[in-house]
Amino acid sequence: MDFAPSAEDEEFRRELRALLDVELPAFLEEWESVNGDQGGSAEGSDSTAFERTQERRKAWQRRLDDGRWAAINWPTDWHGREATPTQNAIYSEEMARARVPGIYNANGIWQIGPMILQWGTPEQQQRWLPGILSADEHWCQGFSEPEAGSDLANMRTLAMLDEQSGEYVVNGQKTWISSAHLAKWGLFLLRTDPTAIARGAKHEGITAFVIDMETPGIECRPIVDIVGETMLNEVFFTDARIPHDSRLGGEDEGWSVAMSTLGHERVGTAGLSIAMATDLRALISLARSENPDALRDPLIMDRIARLHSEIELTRLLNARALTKISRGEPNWPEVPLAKLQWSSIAQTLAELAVDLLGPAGLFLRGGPDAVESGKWARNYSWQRFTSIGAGATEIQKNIIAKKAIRLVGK
Amino acid sequence: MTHFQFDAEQDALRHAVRAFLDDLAAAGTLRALHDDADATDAVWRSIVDVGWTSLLVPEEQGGLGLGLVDLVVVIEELGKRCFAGPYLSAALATIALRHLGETDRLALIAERGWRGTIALDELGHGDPVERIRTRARRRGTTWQLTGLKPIVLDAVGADGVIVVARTEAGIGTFLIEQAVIDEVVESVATIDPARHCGRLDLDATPAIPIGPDGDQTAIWRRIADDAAVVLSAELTGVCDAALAMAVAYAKDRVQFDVPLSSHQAIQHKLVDMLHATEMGRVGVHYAAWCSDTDHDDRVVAASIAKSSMAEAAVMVTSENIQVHGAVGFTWDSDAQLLFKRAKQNDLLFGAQGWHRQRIAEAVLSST
Repeated sequence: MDFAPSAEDEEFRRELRALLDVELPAFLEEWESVNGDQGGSAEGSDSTAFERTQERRKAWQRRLDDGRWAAINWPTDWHGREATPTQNAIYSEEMARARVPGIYNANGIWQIGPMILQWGTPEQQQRWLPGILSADEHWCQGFSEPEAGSDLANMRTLAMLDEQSGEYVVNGQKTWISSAHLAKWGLFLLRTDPTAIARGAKHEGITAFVIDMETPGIECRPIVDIVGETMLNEVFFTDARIPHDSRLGGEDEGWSVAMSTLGHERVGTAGLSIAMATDLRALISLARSENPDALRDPLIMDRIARLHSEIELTRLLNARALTKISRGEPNWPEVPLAKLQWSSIAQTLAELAVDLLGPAGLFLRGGPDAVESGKWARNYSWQRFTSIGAGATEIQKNIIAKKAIRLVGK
Repeated sequence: MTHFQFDAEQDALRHAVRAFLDDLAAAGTLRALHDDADATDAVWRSIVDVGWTSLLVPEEQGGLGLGLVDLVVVIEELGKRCFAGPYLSAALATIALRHLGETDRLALIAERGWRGTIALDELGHGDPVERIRTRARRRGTTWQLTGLKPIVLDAVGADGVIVVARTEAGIGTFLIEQAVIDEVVESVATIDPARHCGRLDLDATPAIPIGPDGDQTAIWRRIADDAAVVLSAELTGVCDAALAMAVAYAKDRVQFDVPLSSHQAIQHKLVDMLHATEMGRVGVHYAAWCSDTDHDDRVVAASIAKSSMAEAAVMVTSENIQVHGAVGFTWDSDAQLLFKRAKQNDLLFGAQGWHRQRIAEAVLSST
């Protein structure tokens, strides 16, 4: 056992840290006027702040890209670094340690970009990748439908090929799409073979498309989420005609395309342990000034100990996973368990936060007694997302169980 | 490059221990060890012969000079079998002697399989070192111990018991040798039928002071931390065995014409068991590595290992019984052994609640 980094990885970390040490303080100073990097709100008074947050995200992404630090998993030809899994972990840790602001196209860079690199034609890559990288165009991703949540393959939004024009005609409804109203482009999974569901082969007959969100026949309707913000959307397609070359990968290959992106959602979580540990320390410090009696409550103490333990154990789970991945061994069972860990830690932290602050933890942004602009009050509700998004906890358990049961007796 | 995994030699050691235990199981010896003293002596001799008792003895004293990470490999495998022989207790004695700098005694372990055990725990709540009440008094040139050590692992038949007691200087260590042990020890039945425990009723019992002069509190905190890691490693094995039993039974057992494992309630239970086991496991392995490298995280890592692994083991072994239904409620089922070992290890060398208090205090004092 050894936790010492290789010289190459140490150099990677040193270079990134040097950039963050110099660029980040300067950047934050420039953008100091933009407070509270939160999602959009239906309230008109917040819309200016929201716009500025988006501008800051663009600027930060571009600043990173200047040093080839925005899309580290992309090929060097595409201004990336072809980073190893260990380097991904280092990147994620350093970004968390520095508490960097968000970027404009996180989804595009981490999930959709790699998919276009894997499945797209050279022409498609030229068309889409530069805009993702430069933060000139925002991207969204639409998989879920009203009847296709956990049962994702049950999707029914149709894309039928019009033989005469060569275009696909899209009809149906997608939902829970984050930032669709801001997006120029969207990656969608659509059904091209409507008979597949009836055949009992619903994973077949699905095709991936990249769609221009300004296409006539597409309408975004905001969904007001649990914290009152409007980043989520329903997207309705009514005879929307999309060009033939908007198809990514072959017809009916969409499920494979989608699975290749869902895999990327699990990469780069190593920094979460640093982010969560930092949050826990910040919260304790906050409680000392806002609500010190909470830290004399033995039940609160027990929860702090448990949370610290879980954060630390998850860091180690990631280290074990990384070791296995770098040795070419199956990343079982650490990687599937990590998703469960992060969901539960994020929610545990969110719950502990408001209890540590007491009544002061209830006040929302703008209120006279709000603590840290109400971010912990918002976070309490917001974190319910983590056990639902990217695969509900129960679905993840089903998947783990099937594998664990299958492995016994082999 | 982060390499958080055992190396090839450690894997080979694991396979050797596993094969050794498979042979004992095949011969019916594992259960015989529960109440047959002759079988215990014989199995001890064979472990000495293979050399595993010298694992932690430094090379200068004729041992293998290995560390806690290596010991964890052996202990995990023994845990899977709820091994009733005296190996773990002797390993704790070796760890204690190492921290106390008792080189002559360490040489005896390597030379002829001297078998020790430590008497730290006393009745009560909280910090296991803090709550020691046994007194050591000097009488001329000799020392005498008075107090109760209610649960000393494998004390009966040991060559020496290493007793922790209070002196005028603070905490001290005293060795009771075999002839004297026989006068003060009695076998005591605990919840765990697969572990021999002795009760030492000390009343002006003669003992030999060992270790450095003065207060040894810091040394015993270190030994207690290492012991907590070793007991946790045994529970990693216990959890592995309980989970394997539960999954195998769930696949096998048919009710309502389908295997139990086809029910989501059972599937999610099995996932919770796997989940808790794996989280505990990485904590135990890290804590062992921290001890071997004297890492800054060492103390908190030991407490995380003990509290997480003990809590996991109590849950995992209970759920194993639940999956087995009435079959899990029988004496013949190994489910009972795993279940009882889990609680025994939880309460020795600091219960999980105390370890969590220690974690919380460390987190608060660092912010």
